[in-house]
Amino acid sequence: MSVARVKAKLQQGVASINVARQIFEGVATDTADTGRLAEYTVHDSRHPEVEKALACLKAATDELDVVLRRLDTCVQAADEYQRTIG
Amino acid sequence: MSNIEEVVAQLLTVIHRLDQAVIGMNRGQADVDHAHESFIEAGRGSDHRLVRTAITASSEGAAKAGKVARLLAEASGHFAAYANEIAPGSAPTNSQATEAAPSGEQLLREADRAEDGFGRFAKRVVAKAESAGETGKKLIDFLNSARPSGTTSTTQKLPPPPRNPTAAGTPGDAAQALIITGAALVAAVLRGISFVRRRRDKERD
Repeated sequence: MSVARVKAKLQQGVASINVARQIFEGVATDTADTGRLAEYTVHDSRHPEVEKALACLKAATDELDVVLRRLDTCVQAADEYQRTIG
Repeated sequence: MSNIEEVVAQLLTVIHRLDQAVIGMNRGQADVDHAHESFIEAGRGSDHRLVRTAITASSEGAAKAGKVARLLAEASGHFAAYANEIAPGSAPTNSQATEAAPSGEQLLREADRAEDGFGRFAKRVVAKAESAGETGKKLIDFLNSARPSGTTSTTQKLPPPPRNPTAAGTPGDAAQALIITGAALVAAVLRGISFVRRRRDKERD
């Protein structure tokens, strides 16, 4: 594969990651809002379903941070590789 | 939060938003998968550390995005179970997240990408609906007073919402009102998007 073709593929990959990142950042903001509304709504409940729901929400939020970090790693590596191959 | 009706209405808002978030995660995951394939092609025949990193990180990112989607769907399911315990039949038992419909948020973003007037318009509409959503009770009251008996003409064009119908009662009405808002909003945004697409296609021709 030519260097130009490799670069084009890397750029395509980075573009897709950027689309995903935009979506995930939107989800992160929305989920933070939703979490606040949820906590406000059920603040006086110790119902097992509520506790499970809030635990899942917290785990999802933490995992979403990891997703965003992985995407950053991806973009950095792809950009650096592009410079490396000239 | 003193009465069950309000709690259920807000829980339904929470459930709906979580389901939209699941759809968002699934869509984003598809983009990351796509990126992963591009990186694999770019790295064919190369053992370079950097391209390998891009391949691995995109694979992990996609897998973890899937995990986030599952956790959000699970949270939604638990909230629905709770809503159904305090007001039986008030919440859907099947996750909306499995439906293929794009969220208003995603449509909005796509509209924004088109960088035209509609994007700004849609943003205003969604922002308005969002702020209405914050004050769940007001929204329900408004919809109940504004809604004629039956559904609006906008929602009739859509397939019936997959939520479980409930027996007569206020929580059920609240649920229906929220579903109608969501459906009407998505329909409005969809109409706008298709209008923009048609116009763009025309310009291209």
